[in-house]
Amino acid sequence: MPRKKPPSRRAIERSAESDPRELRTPAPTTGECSQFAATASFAPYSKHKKHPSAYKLQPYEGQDEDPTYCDDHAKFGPEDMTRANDLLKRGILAGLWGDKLAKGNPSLLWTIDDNGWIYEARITNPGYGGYHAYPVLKNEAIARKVLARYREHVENAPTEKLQTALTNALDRYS
Amino acid sequence: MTGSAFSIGARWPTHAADGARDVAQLSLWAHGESLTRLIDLEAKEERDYFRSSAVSMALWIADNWWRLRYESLRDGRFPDANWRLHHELTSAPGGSLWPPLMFNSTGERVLIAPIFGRPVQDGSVRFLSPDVHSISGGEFEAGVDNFFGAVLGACAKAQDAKALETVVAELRTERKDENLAAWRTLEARLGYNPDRAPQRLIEAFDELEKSVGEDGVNEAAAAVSGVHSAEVLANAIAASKGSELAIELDVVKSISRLRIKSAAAPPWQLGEEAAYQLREQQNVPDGPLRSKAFSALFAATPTMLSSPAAVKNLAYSTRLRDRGNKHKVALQSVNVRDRRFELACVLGDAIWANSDFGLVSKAKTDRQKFQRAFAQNLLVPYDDLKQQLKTSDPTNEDIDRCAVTFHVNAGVIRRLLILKKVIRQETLEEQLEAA
Repeated sequence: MPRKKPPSRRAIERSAESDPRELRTPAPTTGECSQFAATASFAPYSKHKKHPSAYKLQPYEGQDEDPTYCDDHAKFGPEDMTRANDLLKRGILAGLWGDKLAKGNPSLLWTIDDNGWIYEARITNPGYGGYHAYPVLKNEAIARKVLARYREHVENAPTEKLQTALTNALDRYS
Repeated sequence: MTGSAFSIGARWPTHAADGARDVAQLSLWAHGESLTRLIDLEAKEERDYFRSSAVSMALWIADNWWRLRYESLRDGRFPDANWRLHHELTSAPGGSLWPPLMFNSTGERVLIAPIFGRPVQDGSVRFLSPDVHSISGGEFEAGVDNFFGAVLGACAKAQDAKALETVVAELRTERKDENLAAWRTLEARLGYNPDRAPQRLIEAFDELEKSVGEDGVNEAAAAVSGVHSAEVLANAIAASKGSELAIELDVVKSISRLRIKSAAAPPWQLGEEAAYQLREQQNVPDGPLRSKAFSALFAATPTMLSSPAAVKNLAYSTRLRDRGNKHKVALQSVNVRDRRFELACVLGDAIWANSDFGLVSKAKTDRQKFQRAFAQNLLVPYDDLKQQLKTSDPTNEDIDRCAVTFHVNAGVIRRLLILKKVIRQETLEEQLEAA
């Protein structure tokens, strides 16, 4: 059968909620990472909390869904919220950026907690660097790619904390 | 849910406002079985659906349609992240509990199976693990088309509906034009997303197709993906041409292909049937296939089959028609026992496809599964194995002993016993081989 190259697929804008999960390749430079880490911020979203009131959040008002929950799945409790911004910056500095942009911000980011849980952060306010996040479950293939890039980052700039997170994540997602 | 072999159900309790995210009750069904049954431990309920955005799921399917329909597993190992991202539904946009299902093409069919790895035990919602289901390519396409139609109908103004409409329209155009479809199909088989395969790679396969035919290219692409895959095939062809091992495959001419052509049974069963036919028609005595009788099937001598050295670093074994009824063969294995199995696969391949070229790989296509089952049953007829085993509950020692008797790897005996349900399928890979 003769093969004919199809016209390229058109890039129609879609929301971050439908963006394919792929890491940006090549990884962002150290300068880009530092710059973005200084401006990006985290704010919790009640959709990904089984018990939003425990986090002092209003109950989720959208339709019933089956999301992944920070508390129910990853046991990331209200007391952990103070660490959330640092975790977001950890992922940004490690170059764990998605390959799609929303008004100049990566639509997706990933980070790895000290206990090895990987979180995916999704842009909440495109253009303003605001993100919310939810856990990546053990059976999600993206975890392998995130771990591979994070391992490179830790090997290049090892610290005890980052190394611990890597070891725990390799164990959790093995 | 429906009478069709495969369907994706979507029900929207509330329609999404303009530009808002839709939330549907989504369910997947094959042959009447729910593939998305789950237990909600906290609500103390079981249900056949999960709740997420139908548009997001439809976009993931549309983005990956060619790979879901045509890309096979390359071997029995845990697939890499690149394969999994485009075949496992848990790779759809994050933050939702997607069912742990994968779509794996075997060529003409698509298998829907649980994903590799242990089930997730976190959280209060747990999916139950369904059986492996086999559906035809046409049934897959019809089920997905109906789903696209339902989502576009119900969510025309929802968030991302425009993007979905565009991808589905592009997909339709590509599928309708057989030349465009041929490109996308090969691209997918080689492990590339749409527009990602280098043009030079596809053109290299176009050139190679003149020597090995479309089926040969398809099997080669299923066996080795990526940018070097055409080079690998070219090397394998060169190895066949330069091989000193020339065999005849005339014995396969008497084997009926009717049931193979109509896919009347799973490939492993068709392979078994063909092996029995061949043994009977060639008056091969019961029991282990001795070297002399085995060689005779190829119009060769035992020395001929065991002496030429295998070609190093071949990704797969190949046969290529030479002059007259001779086929030149390049084998991977050095070990005589494993070469026997490869040669039996070559014979099986010639039964499956009456072609001038064939290859033997570990890929999970129907053609490769047929070859393996044929070789297993040619070398180890099940009735003879039963007599040797003398037990319905064989130990590893029993299996090793029989492997020596039949001059095969112990894995061959084990797989046969799994297919015959004497020993339990323990791994997903074993279930996929038997599907």
